[in-house]
Amino acid sequence: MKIVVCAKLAPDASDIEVRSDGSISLERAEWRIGSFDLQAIEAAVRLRDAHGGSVTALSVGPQRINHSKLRKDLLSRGPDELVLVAEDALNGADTAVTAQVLAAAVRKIGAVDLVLTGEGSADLYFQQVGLQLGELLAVPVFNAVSKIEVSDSQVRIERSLEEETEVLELPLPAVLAVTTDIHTPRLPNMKEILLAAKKPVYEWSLADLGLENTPEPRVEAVSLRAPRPVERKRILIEGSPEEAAQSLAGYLVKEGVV
Amino acid sequence: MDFRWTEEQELLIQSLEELLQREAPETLMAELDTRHEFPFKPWQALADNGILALGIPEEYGGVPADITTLTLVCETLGKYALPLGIIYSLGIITIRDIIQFGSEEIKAEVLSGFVRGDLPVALGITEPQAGSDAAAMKATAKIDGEEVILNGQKMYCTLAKIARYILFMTRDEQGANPYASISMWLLPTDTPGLRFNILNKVGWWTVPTYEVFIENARIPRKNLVGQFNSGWPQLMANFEIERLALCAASVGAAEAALEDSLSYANRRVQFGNPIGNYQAVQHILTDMAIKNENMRNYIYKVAWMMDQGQSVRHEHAMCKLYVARAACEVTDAAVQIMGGLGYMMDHRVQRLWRDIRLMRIGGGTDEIMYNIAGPQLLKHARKS
Amino acid sequence: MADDKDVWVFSEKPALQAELIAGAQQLTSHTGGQVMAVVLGARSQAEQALEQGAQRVLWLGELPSGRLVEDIVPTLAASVQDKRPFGVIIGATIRGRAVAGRLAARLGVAALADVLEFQWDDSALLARHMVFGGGAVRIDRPLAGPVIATTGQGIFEAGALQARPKGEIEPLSWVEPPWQAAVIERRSRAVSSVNLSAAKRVVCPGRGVARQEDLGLIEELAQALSAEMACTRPLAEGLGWLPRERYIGISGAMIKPDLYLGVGVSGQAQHTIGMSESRVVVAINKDRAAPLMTQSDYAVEGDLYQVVPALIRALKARKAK
Repeated sequence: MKIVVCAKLAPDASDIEVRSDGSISLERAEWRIGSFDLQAIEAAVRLRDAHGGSVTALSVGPQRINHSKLRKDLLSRGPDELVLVAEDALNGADTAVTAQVLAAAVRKIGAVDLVLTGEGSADLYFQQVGLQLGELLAVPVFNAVSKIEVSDSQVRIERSLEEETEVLELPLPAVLAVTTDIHTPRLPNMKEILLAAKKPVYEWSLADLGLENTPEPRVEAVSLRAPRPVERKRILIEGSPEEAAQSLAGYLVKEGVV
Repeated sequence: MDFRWTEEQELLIQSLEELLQREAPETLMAELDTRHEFPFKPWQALADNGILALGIPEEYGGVPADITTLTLVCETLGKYALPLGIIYSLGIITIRDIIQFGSEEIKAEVLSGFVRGDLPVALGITEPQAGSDAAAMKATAKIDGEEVILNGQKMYCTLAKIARYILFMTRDEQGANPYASISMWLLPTDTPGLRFNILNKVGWWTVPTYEVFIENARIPRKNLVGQFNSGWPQLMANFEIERLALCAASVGAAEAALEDSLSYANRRVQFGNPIGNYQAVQHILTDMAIKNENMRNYIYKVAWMMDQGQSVRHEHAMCKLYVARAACEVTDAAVQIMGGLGYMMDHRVQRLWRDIRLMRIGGGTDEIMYNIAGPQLLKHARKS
Repeated sequence: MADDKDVWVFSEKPALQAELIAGAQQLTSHTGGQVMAVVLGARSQAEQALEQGAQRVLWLGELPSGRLVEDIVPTLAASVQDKRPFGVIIGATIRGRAVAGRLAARLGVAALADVLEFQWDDSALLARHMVFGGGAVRIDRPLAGPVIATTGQGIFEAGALQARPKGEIEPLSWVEPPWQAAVIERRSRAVSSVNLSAAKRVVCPGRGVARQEDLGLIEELAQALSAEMACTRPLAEGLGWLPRERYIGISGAMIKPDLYLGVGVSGQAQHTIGMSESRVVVAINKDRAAPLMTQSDYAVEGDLYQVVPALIRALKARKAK
């Protein structure tokens, strides 16, 4: 079985710096594999280990993502090879552009049985790209997939919806966005880290994908700022547990919440 | 001069940090300490994630790793879960002795087991009358056909009862030169004739230390590690890396102590200001940070020298002496910064302070480090 | 009814549909078009949409058996291409997100996900949403129409039901989907299902709770407050102490209760994004510098193992009076 797993490499949200005017700097943020994509990688690797075949990791984005440590990080988590489409024209690409480039790359990889994505990207978390990708490839596509069983040219999936679990059967190829609890992602060990440097990495340009022009953006980000903090009373209650509890209970009554 | 880690080292340490946060969180380590329980589960997690495989030959399931990488691993263990760093460091000497001197059979058994999560082999060297003075060692090995009968008493034998093996040192009474009369045996801890008496320590509560009584314990003769009467030089061959590993774990602990102190100084308000706003406190914190930086540079330098194949005969002793003392100073300063809270059992710094104190004693005391370094320095001066 | 002016809404959840209609009204007050609801369900549901304020309903009838809500995508795409609305607002449930993403791809646009607010800059629509795990607010401007957006529960306030609505119900016919998933089974997850967003009071334990057994204590507090029990993500996902439905924050529940009480919750942005609009926020933590402590109305500095039992006693004593 040939599996492609898409992963977004993006600045780590915990490294965000808020400037005094409320604007945000990501210059010093470390770029990482999206935390929700790690589960998709784990799911892909487990399916390959159970059914044979190969896992190709795929990431698209600005030049910055073509970094040897990020490449090793991705490959140390189990994929057999990596395809990168790293061009600065893809910096801040919207979901439509990203999905189009991914779709072109999946077509070029060819004969793909299954594409997995995470629930959403770690930076924007719009939870859109996987669904758009499936639609562009005109294959079955589902989100919230918490279990995947493959047999022949079929796949049986469980979806964790808000109030129910839904079991579906669909033909392959398919695109599935997995939940964050499908598996606990493995932590790469030294053997895998050393091996990662030896795995093939293919760097494709947009032109290689037959996309002579970068796809037209559909959404423009007008501003990115730190959220305005909600004003809170900030009353600190100290003292013995009994005193603090009495004092808090009093406040809760005064607020009309008990 | 390049101070950067390799990408592989960065990825390994990143992975290890996540593993420790997952499998050895502070709440768990604090609880194990209170209950005096060995961290079996976190230790197994280290094995399951290939940390224990580092530096073990590949034929026994290991993965190549240089000494610098092992140093970074020990430092990280020390920072997140000091007992794991201690256990790992203690194991480095016995495990390396087995790699270097063990028979094929011993290596297959012990090294593969260690990679899978066995505890390290305990070291049985110190005796009631013999610490750093090997000549005073009294434990004996009497050959009886294909077997050997061991007798003696060992002190401060950490992990002895819960480990599968003790690397047991005996003295050949016939030998005139005590350093050429010591042998090293792989003694299974379930051998009849062994009795353990647990010792109460000031720190290291999750890493138990025993007094071991060995009475007519019979083991196969093939359990000899290395050559007969070559035990002392064999042991010395890996004392340097053990001391470096203990240093690295200590540096990690000092980093944890500084982190706790900084966060406390930022939030503890006295006289209307966070205490970190007061210069007296800033001076302590800065001195702690400088010591940490020096310690780190020292251990990396010694590790680098060892990786280059250079001798660290006096450097490692000077490093151990400096790091053990500086780490004690830093953890002590952390207790001081936190005031009353620092002395309370429910905060981490008291544990670091208690655990680190042993670093000036274990693996060779400060005084022995002077004894190693001083004569070497003079010898070098005479040569040049 | 001119081109590019109407705003459609779609949600398989009638309650959410009512809120989307209110959101769509904000847009049509600017575009000058009509609010139209696409309804998949019984005729009574189509009528309900009119009562909720839709001026017109595009009614598909009931979902044929063996079909999924998501199968509406080709139908929706064809209708949008035919009728050219200004945009479609879709309820941000899991199924709704699937519909929105696929619809956007078919229409060649990018869906605006989890919109918290629509704004107008002259004639340009702007949409505000949270990014970077709640660490930043981004305002996006769609460059191409139609506008496809998703919005979750509790963003727009549903208007009052209309007694005798005037709107028309226009039948819409199904467009056959190109592929079909077979539904093997549906299991209700009622046991663990909880509607946190409807709860008036929420008690939320975090990593400060050392052991799973200790959750009993937190539950007792929740009972004393008649509150729902929520949790932070690590408790649900890393540790698995509580079901996934109960965690608050990005990728979890977004709540706006009257009272949020965090016990041993540090208050990372990924969590606080889900509760920052609570009316009264209380934090109990032994670390007074924990982010949640500084973002709360009442911050109790102390050991939760001592404070919580004392608080339970205090609440019970007050109740007894």
